[in-house]
Amino acid sequence: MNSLNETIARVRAGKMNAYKEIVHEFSPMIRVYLSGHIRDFRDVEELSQEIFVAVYMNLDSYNPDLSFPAWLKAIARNKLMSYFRRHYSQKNMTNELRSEIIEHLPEPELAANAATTDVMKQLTRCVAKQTEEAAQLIQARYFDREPVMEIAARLKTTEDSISSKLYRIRKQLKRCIEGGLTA
Amino acid sequence: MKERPLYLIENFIDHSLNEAELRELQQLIRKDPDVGNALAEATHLHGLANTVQHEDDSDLTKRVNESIIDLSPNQLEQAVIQAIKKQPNRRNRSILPLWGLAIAAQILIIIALSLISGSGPDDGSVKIATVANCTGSTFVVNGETKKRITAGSALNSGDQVFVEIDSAATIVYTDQSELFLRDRSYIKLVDLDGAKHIHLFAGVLHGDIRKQPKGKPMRVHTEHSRATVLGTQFEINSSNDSDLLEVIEGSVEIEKSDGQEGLEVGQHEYAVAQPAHSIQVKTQGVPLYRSPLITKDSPGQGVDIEVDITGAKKLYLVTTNGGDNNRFDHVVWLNAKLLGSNEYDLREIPWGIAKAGAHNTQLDKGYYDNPIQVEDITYEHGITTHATSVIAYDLPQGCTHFKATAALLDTALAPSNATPSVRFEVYTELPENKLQKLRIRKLHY
Repeated sequence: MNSLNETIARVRAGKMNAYKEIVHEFSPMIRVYLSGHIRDFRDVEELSQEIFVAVYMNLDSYNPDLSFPAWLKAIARNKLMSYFRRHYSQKNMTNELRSEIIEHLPEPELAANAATTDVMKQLTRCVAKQTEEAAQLIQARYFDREPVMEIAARLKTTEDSISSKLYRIRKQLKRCIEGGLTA
Repeated sequence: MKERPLYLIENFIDHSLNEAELRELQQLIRKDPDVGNALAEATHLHGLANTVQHEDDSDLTKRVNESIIDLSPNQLEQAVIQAIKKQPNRRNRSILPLWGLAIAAQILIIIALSLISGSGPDDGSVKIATVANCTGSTFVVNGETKKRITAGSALNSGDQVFVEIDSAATIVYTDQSELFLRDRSYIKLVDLDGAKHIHLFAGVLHGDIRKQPKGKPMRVHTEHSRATVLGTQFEINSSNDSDLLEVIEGSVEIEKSDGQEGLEVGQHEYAVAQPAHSIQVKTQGVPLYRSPLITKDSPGQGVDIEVDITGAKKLYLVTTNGGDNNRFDHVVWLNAKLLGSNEYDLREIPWGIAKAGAHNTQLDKGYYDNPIQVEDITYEHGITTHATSVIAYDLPQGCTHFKATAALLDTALAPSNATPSVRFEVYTELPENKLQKLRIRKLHY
């Protein structure tokens, strides 16, 4: 892709097709971000589309001195908050609290320091290197999206035990992914 | 890190924290940045895994590009209709620029045949139907506008209705024709000069349709087929695998999207449309027994069944999802026996088919390897499965009756927000349409 600012300049000059490059480059980052908070992938796709349309409509307000990914992420975060308000219309503190927590979450180190597509490739490689027990837990939790309560019931153990194992597995995966990225 | 924050993190991701626990997590994040980092990393990993699985499914770039083109889809559709009606011979003249025609072509594939008989423009802002009721999360999209809908919401031509997971909606047209949409169903409603068109992108659409005006039949378009409805009760299940059309009353003509000649599907018949296969019309299987709807409020959480199966060679035990969704529809067939010249415990007879809507069909095991329990009573033996389920057996000679108690397992009721509901059916002829529906919905899920 041409330098990002050149591409943005082409889009601003009316070359709509240039915008495809921006969508292609940054859609993995946005989809990963949204998928962490929205379970239904159809909603992720739809909200991603909304976000990139909003970015296009507001491209004139983007300051090239700032980080484009950060600016894009801010738009995505606002759209995610709107999504929660639309989909959880009951006005109760639970939904407000969830939104507040998500809004102030820090950027994960892996997301901040590497391209999303590279991290995704490393994730696949690192999952394959785990022990069988860890791989089964990863499959159930992160790919099948089985709730912790059900995993604990199925394995006849406590939720605390599963939560701790998942934490250790995340640490191992992070080390493995970082190792793969720097290799 | 201590167990408590980790417990809260995992349950935050599962949306199962109450208000007090959310406040506790919020406080922990404020006091200790490591907790916030751990939550961020956990959600990031969920996002990575989910995206890795769907990497090849996304046509996001194409859809974004189409969205940012000047005209909204509804306006474009109207422009195309006007252009075609003014220009019957379009060889030498084009009103729309090439990029507009490229997109219009997609819409034309869906509506072209019905435009020939149309007369007069359709006003996209005219109300054509009302939401009679809806549960869960349902919204409508028209152009770039998206809004939640509730009972009483008006629907206009061009509206796309999305019924999300654990949701349902009933839509009533101005002529009192009714549509019922199950969860994860997505449709678009179009009215062309008084003719109703429904584009069913995926899901389950049940219609109870009044007789339509002459020359203006209702049409349901899917990826695989087009159904022409005159005045009928029907249900269409659709996914990227295939369509299944079942006619309850009246008749529907169905033709494939590849132009295969239409076939009429009559009352109690069904048809399957799928790529690379001809449509075949068959008679729906009629169960020898069909239970009432079984829910957690049913006496005994179940029902006693005894059915005369004299002369049958096959037995099919079917558990349907009760008409909503199959979440937590865990069931057991207890004390299932074949009676006649000999008595057989059904568990001793190997099954030929054992399909379940989730997890597996099992012998003598409850869910998550727990014992079989119904109303806190533990049973050593039983056939457990998950709706929608079909279990098939070859019958020994001389069987005259099938007997069992079919019930919801206690694990179906364990989560406080679970609302399981099922029906039990017994067939002696292959319920092919049930199996096909299971295939479509499983792929849809």
